[in-house]
Amino acid sequence: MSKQTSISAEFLKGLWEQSPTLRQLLGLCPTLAVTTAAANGVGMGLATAFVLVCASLMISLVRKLVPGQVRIATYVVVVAAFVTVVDLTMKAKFPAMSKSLGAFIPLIVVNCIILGRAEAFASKNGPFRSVVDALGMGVGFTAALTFLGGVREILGNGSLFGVAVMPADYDPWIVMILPAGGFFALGLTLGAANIINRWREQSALRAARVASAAKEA
Amino acid sequence: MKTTLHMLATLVVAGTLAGGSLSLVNGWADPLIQANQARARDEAIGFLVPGGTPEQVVDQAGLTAWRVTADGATSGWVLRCSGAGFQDKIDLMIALDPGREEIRGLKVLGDSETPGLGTWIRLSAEHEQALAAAADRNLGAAADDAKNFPLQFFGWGDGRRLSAAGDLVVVKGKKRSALGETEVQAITAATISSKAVVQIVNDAVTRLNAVLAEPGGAS
Repeated sequence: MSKQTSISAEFLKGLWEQSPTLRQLLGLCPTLAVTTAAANGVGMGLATAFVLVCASLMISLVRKLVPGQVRIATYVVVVAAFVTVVDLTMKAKFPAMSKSLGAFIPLIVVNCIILGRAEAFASKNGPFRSVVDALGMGVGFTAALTFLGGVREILGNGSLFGVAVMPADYDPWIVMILPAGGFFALGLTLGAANIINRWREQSALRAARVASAAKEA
Repeated sequence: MKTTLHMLATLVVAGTLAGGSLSLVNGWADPLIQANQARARDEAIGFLVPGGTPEQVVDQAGLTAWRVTADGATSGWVLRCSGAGFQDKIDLMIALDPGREEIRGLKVLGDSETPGLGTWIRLSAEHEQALAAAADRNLGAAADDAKNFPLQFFGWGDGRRLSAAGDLVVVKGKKRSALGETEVQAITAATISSKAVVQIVNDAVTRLNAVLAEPGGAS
């Protein structure tokens, strides 16, 4: 029997090792489009995380009842229902945020993170583990979008969450809140994430060598 | 056959449960959404023509108009209209003087213009606060800035106000002190958005005048 990953590792993998944005490069369309401000990143991330958690739970619960031939169609119905709930709730309770995110809330239906986790994880694991996995992925996605939105808002508007953080004479880099700025910010962030990963791998390799040498000695 | 029935039953059950749940959520959310929209509309009317009671006089596709009355007399008109912008529809409100000869204000309610360029068609929160506090409803010299495009629709502070005859045109590179009553200075690098707003305003006032000129119109 294969060793099962601990619950904490299941959650933490979504934050860095398998971060949907930084490692798997999934859901990049909303990532580039809505991260013109940090608040948009938080809103989009939380909306996606909610749908991800609910859809993973539901799909995990019904995984043995759904015939394989219609599983994707069933998953899409489940995901679309939760996305519509989020869309209506945001319009009712957070109209300003809903207006700001525009069409990208309904488009969560086709966000590949959600169907990806449903197909790769929730359809093969129990409800508790599926929810933990979805929570980790949702938090990782929200963190990445908030970071990108924060960087773009600071450089492109001189503010963070709407509060001015740059000197009064700062001339905003408008390009950072334009689509091109999204690509710049994402590219540089992915580059930085790759460098950090390489450092971590080299450190782990060095530590393993030291441990091996100590054992031999 | 058994597999086909199983597949069919799965999809029917999933669709029915999803549809039923959404119907319940919609029943809860719809009144709140309607109330939010009505509140936003009322706040915009109150900002554009303060201190009066709006009465809806026109409700057509793409144009809604209110006559605002105070102390029994017309104190202004507010038009809600929409049209094509650079990327998507622009939804805005404009205010007219009681005689419908001058434009007294403009507020964009929704747009998808380019951030940092076309989005300058929106009135900033600071300007909205300042306008609400200004007795003569214009910020004068503050309008003399390429980024303050909507302030032109509130007047220049020297008596000049834009015409409400549907004859506005967009100009570029002209000194603001030399702008006429039919000329609107374009936003730098967002000429299409500027022209879109002017086109929507021209169409709306022309349509309103035509509707009110008809027999039984509210004028």
